[in-house]
Amino acid sequence: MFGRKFWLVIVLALCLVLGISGFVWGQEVTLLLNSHFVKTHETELTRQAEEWAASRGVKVRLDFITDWDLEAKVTSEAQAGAGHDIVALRDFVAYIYQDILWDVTEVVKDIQTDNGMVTNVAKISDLIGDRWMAIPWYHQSFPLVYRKDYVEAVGYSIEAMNDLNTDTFLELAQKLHELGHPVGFPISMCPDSNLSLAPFLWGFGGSLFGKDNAITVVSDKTAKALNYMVELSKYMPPEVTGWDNSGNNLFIFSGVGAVTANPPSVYATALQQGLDFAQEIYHAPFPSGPEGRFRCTGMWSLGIPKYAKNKDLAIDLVKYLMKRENFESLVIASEGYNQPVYEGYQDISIWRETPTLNAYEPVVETLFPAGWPGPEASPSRAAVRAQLLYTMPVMFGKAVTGEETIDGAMKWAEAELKRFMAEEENK
Amino acid sequence: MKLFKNEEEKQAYIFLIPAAIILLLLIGYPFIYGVFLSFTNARVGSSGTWVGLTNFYRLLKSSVFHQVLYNSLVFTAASIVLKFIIGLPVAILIEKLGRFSKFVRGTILLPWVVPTSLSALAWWWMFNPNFSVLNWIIKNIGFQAGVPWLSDPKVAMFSVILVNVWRGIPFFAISLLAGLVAIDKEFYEAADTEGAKGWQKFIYITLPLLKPVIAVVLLFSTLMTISEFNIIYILTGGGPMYGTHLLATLAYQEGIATGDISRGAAISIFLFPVLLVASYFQLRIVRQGVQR
Amino acid sequence: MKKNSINFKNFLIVLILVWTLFPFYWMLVTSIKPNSELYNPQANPFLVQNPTSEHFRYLLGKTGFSTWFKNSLIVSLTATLITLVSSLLAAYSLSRLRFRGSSFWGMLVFIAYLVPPTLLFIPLSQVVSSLGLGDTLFALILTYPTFLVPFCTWMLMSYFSSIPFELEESALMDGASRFQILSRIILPLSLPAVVTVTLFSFTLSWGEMIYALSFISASFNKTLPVGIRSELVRGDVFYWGPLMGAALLASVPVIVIYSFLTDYYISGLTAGSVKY
Repeated sequence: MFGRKFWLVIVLALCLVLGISGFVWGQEVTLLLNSHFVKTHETELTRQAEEWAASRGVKVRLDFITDWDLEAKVTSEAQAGAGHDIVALRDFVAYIYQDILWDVTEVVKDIQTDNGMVTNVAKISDLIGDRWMAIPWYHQSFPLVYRKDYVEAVGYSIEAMNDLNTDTFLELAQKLHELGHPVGFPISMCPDSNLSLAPFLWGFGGSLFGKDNAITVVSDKTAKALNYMVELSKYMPPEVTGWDNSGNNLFIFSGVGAVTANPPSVYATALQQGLDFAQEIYHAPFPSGPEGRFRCTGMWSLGIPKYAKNKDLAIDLVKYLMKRENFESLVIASEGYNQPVYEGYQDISIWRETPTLNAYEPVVETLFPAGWPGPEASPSRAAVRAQLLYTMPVMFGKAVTGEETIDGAMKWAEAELKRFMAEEENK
Repeated sequence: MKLFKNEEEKQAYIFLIPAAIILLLLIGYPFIYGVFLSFTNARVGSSGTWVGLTNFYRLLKSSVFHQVLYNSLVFTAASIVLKFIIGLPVAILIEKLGRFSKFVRGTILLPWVVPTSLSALAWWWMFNPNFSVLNWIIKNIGFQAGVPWLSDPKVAMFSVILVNVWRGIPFFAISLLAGLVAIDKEFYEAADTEGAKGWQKFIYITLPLLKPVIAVVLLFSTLMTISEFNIIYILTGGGPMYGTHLLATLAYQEGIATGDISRGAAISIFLFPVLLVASYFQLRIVRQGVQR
Repeated sequence: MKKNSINFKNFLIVLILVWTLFPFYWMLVTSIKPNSELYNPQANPFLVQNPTSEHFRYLLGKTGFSTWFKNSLIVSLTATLITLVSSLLAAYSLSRLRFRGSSFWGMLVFIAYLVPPTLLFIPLSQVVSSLGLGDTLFALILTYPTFLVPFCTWMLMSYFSSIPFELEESALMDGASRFQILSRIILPLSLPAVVTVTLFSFTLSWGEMIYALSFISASFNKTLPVGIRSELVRGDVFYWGPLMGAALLASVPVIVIYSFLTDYYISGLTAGSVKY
């Protein structure tokens, strides 16, 4: 029963598996990218990459993975010393990957010659000292997104929405709460939460870090921001503390929610799925606080890791993707979702031509990438760690649920940031 | 010099070769390397330097880590207790079932058989804040609001325990059932002639005779529950506010997602002593059974 | 009085069955409900007014589901095969043969079972890459036995130990080799345990997620849990209909195999607990 034939079968099975397990002929340039929230973007991107590959006589492969698994993946590849030729890097994580990325200063210089200078948000994300460690690509910011019909029902016009401050926003929230269609921002351990809460924190002058990486989280200004959110949360549904990245989208899709913060994926999806209120979805600048009007964005760059097998081809592909016509196609394929980080792209017309996107691009607020430690601060590994461990949203969450007092929440955050700094110094 | 004492010994080692390769090369070496990592400050892309016990010292001072230790304790204790006190009556019930017992036995094992990486997705949908079917039922029974399954830290802990219990009861029930069935009916008959009541029979006959089975099941379940990963990862990712993070999920988030490899390794190691103690007891019982 | 207790018992059983099966039922309902009904918070979720196959068509036509299915099959079958061979040999050696170091190796096997996958994760990825197997199915096939072999060996050991030594002794006297004894005597007698161990290995491999998530990134190499989670859980929007459909379809093979071999499974599972 378990004689020779049995073992023969086993050996054959092993050979079969070895043969099937992805053996590729020829040179292949591989990219590791975040799954885009508008799927047509990926189709268009794949098309462009394949077009390039055909012209160079090589193959290309794009791997899209859920964006919150991206860092884990890059870490594994770095540890193993093998992986993709191009990796998508969010915000300023280039800071934690500096040691494993190629210096691409020359590449960025070339691209800027063609496309104009990079905008500030790109510069602060990828320029480390005087070296560019990643090539800025696009960003996707988080303005307010709202249902025009609901806010009009409580007396707010588009003009009014475009000029909110934290006080008028609180009034709006209260009215919407009475209407039964409240506002909602995630106060939970998800990337969207980092992006939605930061403008409130900064608007009151609060921050996690200040100049020279001083830990500034315990302050009157941060306390003001926390107090504000405690007030605001009274008008938000209680489940915001458990939202994941899809929570705020579903909130609007279900017809319940009136206001949240998000890039136009809600609009794009509603449009593509033919939902009847798609035309009522509008965007507005973030409310301004006493210390300024801020917006937070998801900044995406492309990095070339040192373990890439096809460095030169990768650089060539990146330059190709950054060409004006290709970038513009991506913007259109994503229904205006991708925002420009080179001055030369800012004249792409879709944002002006589509009324609901007028407030999306150009960005009137002071713009920082997600997880940015504070308006006066500079990036650091500690800040990246705080971003990826959701220190700021958890701080807000503790205050809002009453698990900690305002003071307690700030002190908790301070202890966390201290430990991140301690670990950073240890290297 | 002879390497092996006799033919039997030589054969024994030859048979061990495939498993030994797996054990040493793919478990032993990576394990030692992982322990080594926890004594360094390695992070993604840099192998770091030796820092001794610094990582552990930092962990013990960290309030987040305290919370995770507490979570692990609560999660494991509550899950196991619930699985036992629900599993035992279920086992007793099935034993008395007669006609349908086979069908029921087969069906109730399903949550155990289907991988949690798939079944947890269904629970995730069932707990969804906007569209939870459970909340719909609750609201229709007459309650004001639904339950914040995954958005309140304490309720979220309850929810993940619930899913773990849903998945784990079948194992308890079926194992205990087998133990029940194996008890010699003569014991009960003898008790009956002495006029023993139902509950007396249960306490003085059933429970003592079930002890070995209970012990094995409890220890085995402890091992699996403490190192739970999928359910937390899918349902809450460790939130809200670290309320459901367990040692395994924290190790993944800190070690992999933020690239702090050495710290991730240090967190994983904390699991090890507990597992070692639990498994020592389990091994003793196994060995007792093997020696004849 | 008797009737009441029977009714109560039946009620409890029904309750237990509902509790057990509801999530699967819910997967099914969601997978055939159109989006307009799914995302309508007012509607009665139990009613499906216009059952649709759109989610399954999307799943099978526009996603890599069939590829992931194939990959899961290849990985699970091969890993199970490797595990079976290693465990059978090792279990026989450890439980039936007397030799120096047998307790030591037995202890090692058991300790190996304790090493959590999240500790092995990073160093394992290094081993995998240095063998040139990164991002191939083979990476999984090699690493899955690390959590399968210790457990399977232990389970087989406890089953083997119940087989009388006399059978072996007489075979030995007849001149049989140890290997023949294993194949011709021990194995047939341990069939339930072998079936159980195969089932366990297959199911655990089928549902494994973290190693697959870390070692594999190419879409055409993904296994089911990773593919489902990365392609149907994209950024902002989740596709709940196809997601539930995928979870259901992915569970089907496991359920089907199990339903054919339930008795083996149960007796193997409990043999471990009850033998003492």
